[in-house]
Amino acid sequence: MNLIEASYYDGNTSKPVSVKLEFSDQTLVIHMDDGAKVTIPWADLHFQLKVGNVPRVIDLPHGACLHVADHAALENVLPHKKDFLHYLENNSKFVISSFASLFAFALIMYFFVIPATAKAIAPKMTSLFGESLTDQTLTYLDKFNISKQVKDNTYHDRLESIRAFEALAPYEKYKILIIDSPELDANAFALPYETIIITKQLMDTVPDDLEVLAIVLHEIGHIEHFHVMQRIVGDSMVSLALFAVFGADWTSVPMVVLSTGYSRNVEKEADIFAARIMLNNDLPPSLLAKALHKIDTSYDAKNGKSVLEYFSTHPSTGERTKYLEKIETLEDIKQVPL
Amino acid sequence: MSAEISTSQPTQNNPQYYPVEFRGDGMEYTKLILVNTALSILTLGIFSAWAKVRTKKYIYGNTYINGANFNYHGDPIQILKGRLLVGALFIMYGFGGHLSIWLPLVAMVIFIVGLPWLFVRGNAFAMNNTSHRNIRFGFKADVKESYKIFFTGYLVTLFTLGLGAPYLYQRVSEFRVKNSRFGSSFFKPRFSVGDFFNVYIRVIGVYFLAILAGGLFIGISAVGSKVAGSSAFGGIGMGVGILTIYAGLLFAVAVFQAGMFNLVYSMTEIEQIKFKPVLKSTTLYKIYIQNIFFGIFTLGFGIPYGMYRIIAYKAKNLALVTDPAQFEQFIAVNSADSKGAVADAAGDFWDFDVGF
Repeated sequence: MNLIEASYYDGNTSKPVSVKLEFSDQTLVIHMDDGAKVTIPWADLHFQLKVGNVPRVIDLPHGACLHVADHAALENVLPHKKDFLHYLENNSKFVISSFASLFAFALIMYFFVIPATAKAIAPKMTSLFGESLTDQTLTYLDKFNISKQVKDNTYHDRLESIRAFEALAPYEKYKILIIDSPELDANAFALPYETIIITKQLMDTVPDDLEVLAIVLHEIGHIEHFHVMQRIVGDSMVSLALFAVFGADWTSVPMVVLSTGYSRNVEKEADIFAARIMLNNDLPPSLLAKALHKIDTSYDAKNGKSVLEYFSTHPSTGERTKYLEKIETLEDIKQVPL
Repeated sequence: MSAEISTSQPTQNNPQYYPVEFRGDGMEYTKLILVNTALSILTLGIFSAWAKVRTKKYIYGNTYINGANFNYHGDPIQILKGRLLVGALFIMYGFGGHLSIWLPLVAMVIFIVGLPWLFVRGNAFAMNNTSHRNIRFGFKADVKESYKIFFTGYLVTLFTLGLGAPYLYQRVSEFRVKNSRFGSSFFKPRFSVGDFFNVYIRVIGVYFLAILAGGLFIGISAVGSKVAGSSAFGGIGMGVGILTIYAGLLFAVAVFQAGMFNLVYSMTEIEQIKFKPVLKSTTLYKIYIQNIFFGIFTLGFGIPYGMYRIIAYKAKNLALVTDPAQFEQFIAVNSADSKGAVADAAGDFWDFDVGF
């Protein structure tokens, strides 16, 4: 019978003893280095988990233990002492399907579960924090000089005539602010709580009041659908998940890459919201398409085609123009795939 | 406890340098993590406790000092208990607000008030379940003292508007190290509050530099775009600025991690053993950055390998300086001490793992 090399630790001191193990039907005989032999019945042996290439630990009575590095020799005499999880961890098919299912799980969470959850709790969160968040954003814009409130009365007069349109009557309580911002250029955005910001540059680029109205309705759509809060909640859930999986060392940076890619649907949702209101007020949704087209053309004229478009969160203007121009009746809205 | 057992004094005529060896394998670790994470998700998180035991057994079992490795003995059921408790608090804190605005507040108070107790129990679990050469580590601390340290630290931090945080951190670290033992030998911390402030100042320096540099990029490009009349310029500048800030903050993390590791180990002793840690924040940072790119390009498959590299780097950059005879002279706590055994058993019920 072959003897298996092992280290013996008595559990009282940290001094190891080199020993040889002899397994027989009922017992383990330990050959100590001084020639002494210790016999232990199998029932008194406890095999610890087998993990990777780590030497197998066998617990002996009275707190002593053996470390066996030679796994092959050990399993040769003890074929039933294989570890099932160890087997799974070394089965390449199981490893690959584990990776595939983790990958699928991450995708399902990222594209379906997290957005759906964010959507479900966004209204409640908006009612809790929407107002203070909106105030904070406005202070931020102010403090960092990203914008100046426009003083020029011609813009405010135009805004008044836009606000007079019947379509905006249900949204009278909404604040609409005009700012001057060369950085943001022709742009409009929604804050979580009943506030819309449009740039003076946008009003210059889109001279038709009805087309500006279409843009405003699109932004109202974002607010009515709680899109801003949805994004904040979604992003926090992603970073929370990253923290849970990878711990503190890893969290912050991947967020830049992962910051929610589900905003394309959100734009479509706001477009459709605007289209519905326009149709109800006998206005064609193609107004929005025209406005988008003008903004796009002015960007291109100034900058040429930008690489940044790859990172754009909006669906391309071409795509949006296409479906917006197709909508002529409320029935047509159902044809737009979300 | 067991103060009556004192180790014999080793001869210190031949102190030598023993680097910690890490014999793990990146691919093997990757397989282990992938399989165990998949099983954890499949079982709605229940298996995660067993997964933790396997992962710890792998890392400890591959960490060698002078030819002998470590072992982990945590009981998955205890770990599960700890996770359920912390998880319940977390859910109360994160989502309880939908039921009542008081729930998150209650969870926070429970957490803050319970932390000193949790700290003692969590460390006891971690240390009691770690062994080297079949000798258990241990942690036995006075919960009352823990409360004193934490609440003094809270107050100092509060009244200095956070500037005193290194004080809290030092007191807690010292408390942890001085109550830790290997067998019957206690660790001796020698680091001072000043040492902790040093690390913090460096971290805060990097933090502000990062924000300054990023802000500069954003500012310059904003001015530039005004001059050039092109918003693409501003957009790129904004992107580069934000990336600079993130990259800088990650460097601050590396400076903190390396700084604390080096500080705590270099200023701790046990019997005649001194530690020599040589972690470099720049190397750690390089590993972080490489990990991010590797993780992205392998669609996540390379993430466990990244975690493995951080563990291996930390292990391999620590060495022990001692006479080799010292390694064989540690003695286990006398288990015949019946009073201690009863106290331990009572403690056992509340021992659970709180570290994720």
